[in-house]
Amino acid sequence: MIKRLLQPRWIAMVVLVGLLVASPAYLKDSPYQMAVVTGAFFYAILASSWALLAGIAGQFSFAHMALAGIGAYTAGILGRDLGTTPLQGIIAGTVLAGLVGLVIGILCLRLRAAYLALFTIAFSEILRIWLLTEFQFTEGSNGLMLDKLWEGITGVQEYYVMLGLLLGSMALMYWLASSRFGLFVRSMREDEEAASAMGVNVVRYKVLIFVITSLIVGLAGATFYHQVGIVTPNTMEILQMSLVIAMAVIGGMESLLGAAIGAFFSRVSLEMLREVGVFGFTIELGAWRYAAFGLLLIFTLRFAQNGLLYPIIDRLFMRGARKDTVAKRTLAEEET
Amino acid sequence: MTRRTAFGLVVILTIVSMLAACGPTPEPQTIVQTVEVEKTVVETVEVEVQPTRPAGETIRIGGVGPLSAPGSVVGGIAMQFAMNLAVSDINAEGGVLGKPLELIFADTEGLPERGAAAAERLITENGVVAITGEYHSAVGLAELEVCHEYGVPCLFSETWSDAITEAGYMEVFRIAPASSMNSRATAEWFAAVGVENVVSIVENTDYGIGQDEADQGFYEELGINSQEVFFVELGTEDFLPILTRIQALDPVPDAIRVAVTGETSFNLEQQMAELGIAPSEDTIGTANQVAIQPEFWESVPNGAYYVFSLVGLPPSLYNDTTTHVAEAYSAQFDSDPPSYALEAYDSIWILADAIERAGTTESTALIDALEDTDITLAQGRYYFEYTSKNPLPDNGSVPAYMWHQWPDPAVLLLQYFEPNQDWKDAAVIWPEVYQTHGTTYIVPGTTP
Repeated sequence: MIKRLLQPRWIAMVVLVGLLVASPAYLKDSPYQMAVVTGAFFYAILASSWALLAGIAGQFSFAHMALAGIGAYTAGILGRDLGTTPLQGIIAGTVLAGLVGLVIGILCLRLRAAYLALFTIAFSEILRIWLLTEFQFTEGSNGLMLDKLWEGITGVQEYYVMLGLLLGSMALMYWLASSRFGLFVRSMREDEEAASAMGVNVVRYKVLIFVITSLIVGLAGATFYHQVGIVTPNTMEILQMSLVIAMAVIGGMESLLGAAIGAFFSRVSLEMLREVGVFGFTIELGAWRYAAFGLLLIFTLRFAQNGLLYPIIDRLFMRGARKDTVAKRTLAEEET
Repeated sequence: MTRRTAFGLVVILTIVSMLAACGPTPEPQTIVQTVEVEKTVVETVEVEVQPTRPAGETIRIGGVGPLSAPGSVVGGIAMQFAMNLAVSDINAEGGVLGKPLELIFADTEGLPERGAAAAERLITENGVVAITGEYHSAVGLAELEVCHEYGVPCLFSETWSDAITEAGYMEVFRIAPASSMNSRATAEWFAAVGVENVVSIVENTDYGIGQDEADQGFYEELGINSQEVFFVELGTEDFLPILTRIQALDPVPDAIRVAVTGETSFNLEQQMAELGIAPSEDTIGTANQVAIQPEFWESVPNGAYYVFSLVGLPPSLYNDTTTHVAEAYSAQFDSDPPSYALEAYDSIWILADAIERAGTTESTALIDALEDTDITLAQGRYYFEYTSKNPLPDNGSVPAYMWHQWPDPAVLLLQYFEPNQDWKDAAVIWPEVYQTHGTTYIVPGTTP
């Protein structure tokens, strides 16, 4: 056990988590940087859960931001109309997002690849337009106000709430991905018919993966927008969903950690690139930073289809496992 | 060291450097570094490091607006241009308190979370003394909480939601019209010209439904009878069924209120005029604000005497400052400046004026000076009626959104009185303070 924990991947993981936990001591003097990093955790949850859904299970969905929005709007509307506490609202938002994920999962049983993507794009757009037009109920484009998580919450506390959510959801997703469940959904991704023929209950796992990722993003959305204090239909624009996907692709969409780190770095970098100092001059990049982000995405798709972080994660986390597998196979072959 | 360990170190170093880059920006100041340089002998050299923008040498104002999607990029670019123009004009006149003014404009992307982060950065990292701008109300609502938290004055120039000033924060001011002020203008004009019965034709969207809800409240308040409300789908081409029902109404409505946008409004307005329903001697016809587009006359050739609303000033009401901004704007964008560009220009001047009068950039003094604003700029004379020195009445007779709200934003009603008339030549009929032809209504068939 101790030998296992001393492996570089575990050491790297402990150091990484340790750095994240200790960062507020450094960031507390800069509320802005703290807010940016906290927001980056939200995108890391979205990107990693999308990696689980699309990269590992092969279900290409564009409904992630919409589901996060469902979580946030449910929490906000319940708080406004029924006076529920933020925690009660977050629980209700998470459950409703999970239920919507269940419905999408059932409806999409027969849809694959582009058709599933189109269905979820349509769902997201319908929801966004509905939120805009039913403004008496949703406040439309003016945005729905949400109470803070609790009275007097500080930036540091918000940081730890989102970090806790990120670590918790990552742990859950890693556990799932490395269990029989993960094996089954991977087999579904590779060949649904073959997986079914081998006894995988494709229907059940397809629905389950939608429900689980919907619960995660619903929880993240409801919590994050309670921190922001307002949620608008703009949040569900297809562009925002595309950003989440781009972040996951840059990090490595078949790797939960890669997608999370990719999203974290992308979000922080996009913020840092607002102003760039060169030889004493300050260049305001404005929207051009998204162009740079697009170039990075093109570069990734052309030269590093597994994501820019994948080679690092592969060496740190998977090479050892591969070695073990090869060693076991060699031993088995020698014995036979 | 194994290769795997080396990779682990690379990952850790990457994260550490990223977090280091996220760290707080040091207060810009002149730093004296002591550097040990090893040559033949060891000697101490003093090196002066100059940051990009030294603090204290300029007075910084934060500008906020959308420069990327999903925000309204066109709006953000226009606002940024106008703010930069104002800063350059102010600096050409010697700056503020003897120092140059510096604008730091942050892209808020039309998203509340980005707006809040941008406001946080401007205040805590860039050290701005005030924030101004913003195009989207939802983003403004997130930003004003940040300004309130830090006690930094925030002058909104293009956010319409009533909630912006309704919060009643000392730090928050607005020179754009509140939504309710915009909605109210037509109803108040109806009352002024003696309209008793009104029919509304409303598009079935958030704009249309919201507009109608606001209108109904104002009609009730002003004693105007809402005879009928017809909801239509955008894209409808044939309005005959609705229009024949209006023709059958008894009494004949005094006015028809159209809250339909785009091409659909053109179809409706042409059919209404063609059938002689409105504008007519008996019934006032109101058109949507898109009537200022050149396509109006192509689609509505019978459109003379329609009344339409405009937020902002037509060229006939430009003063010297407006003309100056319009010329610069036109040279850059080849069009007349929209209201949000004029408001953005004026907002920088209002802040500069307040700093100059306060004699300091300290927030409390600046807020106090802003409350005493009385300055004429591109959009007219700016002042704030309801302030800490003249609080809103407790009896609710004045709406809460009037707190720190400029009372006279140009929410105008214009009327065409000739076929194919350029909108810039149309008569401004309401409010009276802006009238160009000395009348509140031009009866069809007459000229002012």
